[in-house]
Amino acid sequence: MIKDLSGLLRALPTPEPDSELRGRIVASRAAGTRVILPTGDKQIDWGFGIRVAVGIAAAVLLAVNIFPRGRDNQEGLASSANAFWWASEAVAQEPGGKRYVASYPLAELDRTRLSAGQWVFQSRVIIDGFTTDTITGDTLAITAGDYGGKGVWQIANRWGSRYFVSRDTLTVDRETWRPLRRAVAERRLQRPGEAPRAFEFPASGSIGPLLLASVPAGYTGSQLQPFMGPGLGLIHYLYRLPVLQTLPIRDGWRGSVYVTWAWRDANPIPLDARVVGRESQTVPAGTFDCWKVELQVPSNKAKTIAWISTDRHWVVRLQEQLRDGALEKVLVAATPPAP
Amino acid sequence: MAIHPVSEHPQSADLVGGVRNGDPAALGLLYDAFGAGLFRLAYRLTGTREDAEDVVHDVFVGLPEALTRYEERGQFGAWLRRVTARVALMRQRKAHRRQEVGLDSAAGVASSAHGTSEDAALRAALDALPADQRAVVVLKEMEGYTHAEIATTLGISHVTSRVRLLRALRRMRRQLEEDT
Repeated sequence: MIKDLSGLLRALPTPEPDSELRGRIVASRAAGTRVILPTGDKQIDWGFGIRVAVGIAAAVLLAVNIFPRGRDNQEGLASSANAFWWASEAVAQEPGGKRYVASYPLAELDRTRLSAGQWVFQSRVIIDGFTTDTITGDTLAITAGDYGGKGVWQIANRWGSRYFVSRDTLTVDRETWRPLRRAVAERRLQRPGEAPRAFEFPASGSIGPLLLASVPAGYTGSQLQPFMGPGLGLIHYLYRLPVLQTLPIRDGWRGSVYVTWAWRDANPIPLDARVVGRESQTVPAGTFDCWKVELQVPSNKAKTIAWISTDRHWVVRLQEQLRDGALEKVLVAATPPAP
Repeated sequence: MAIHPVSEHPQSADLVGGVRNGDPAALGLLYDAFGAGLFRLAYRLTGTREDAEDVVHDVFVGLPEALTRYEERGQFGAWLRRVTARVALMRQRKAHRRQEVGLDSAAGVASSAHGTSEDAALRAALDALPADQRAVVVLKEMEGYTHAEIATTLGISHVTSRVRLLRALRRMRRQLEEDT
């Protein structure tokens, strides 16, 4: 007969949390992840309630836009709670805000500069001078291929930690950069895998290329949240790295591009870029002579700094300032290797 | 073994203000103060390390926005535990709907890795409970909540809380005695 069941229960051993958990939390916040907690507080903040309602409405609209009815991808990316860029971008353009346009002349992109290769980045959080590695790594791979008789680029982003790996592959027309297909696979390393989800962009749809050389007729500006960041947070940086390669950067250059969503071209995000100097950067992948480029979304005073190599225009370091520190990505390895 | 309440951090008021303002350093310090205790609570409620870490991750990531609705009337630690318990239980319900089984539960990893065969049997009996009964057992017997606190946290009456506890303990005793 068991007498002191309560005592036995209290004595059950529990493990300690993973030592990386703290860093992952700080990195997730810095990367734009937001979670609505069930606090159960009775006091109603109507402003917050409206924001939540708008957020939910935006998520529903996006889900409807992304997943055409009748396809077998109805589970949707929205169910993918760990795809941190998703939630961030979903709330980034809540309607009702001030309208913003690009600050500089639109850049003439040099698409011939985009090349096949693989780039591995390491995330770091720097607070009060202390550097903490956060997640195991992010990999961008660009390969040339053929899809439906068209020459395409496959832009594959892979990121993860010791617990999950997420892979997001965008197939774009090599000439126009118009998205053709998107596939997402996410799996927990210690659990049965999930089937990858994929969908094709309809040829007749309104989805534009990743970068717009011009904005649609009648465009009056985009409604943007003030916290929207250009680099590591609200615009998923791995998608933007290949297009940053094609900016016509030179000493003293400044210009803007409109970054479009991978699934629709409404309300494009203006992104201002300005070369502020040259610096040599030593990262695990090597030492590079770089342009130091400030990237900024006009709605947000915060700037992201990108160090872009002068030879191949690779982004070798990307840094976003936090309140008391910085979040940065550094190039760890590249294929083909650095010259 | 004593219950592990989440003690109040001496500067928690300053940290709460910092986190509310989006200060990542304050968030890190708040994690240092409360993270381990909340992880234990989440682990006891979910039964797996991965789920517990996900719960704690979500709680701290969502904290800056949640704190805008927090009124400093009671103990901050108690509020934080209540939120963590809710997140863990929501996660449990979703996992139950998806019929997920954590590795720890499926293979008895946690039991064998962290204790004796008696511990393993006790954990198996706990894991075998329906989610609603398990939550009451964890909160009352392992975390030291009162039935009134459990009622608030789970959104049930304190009578229901008592009934669930009695049923759960009876069920666990029966299973443990059958095992021995």
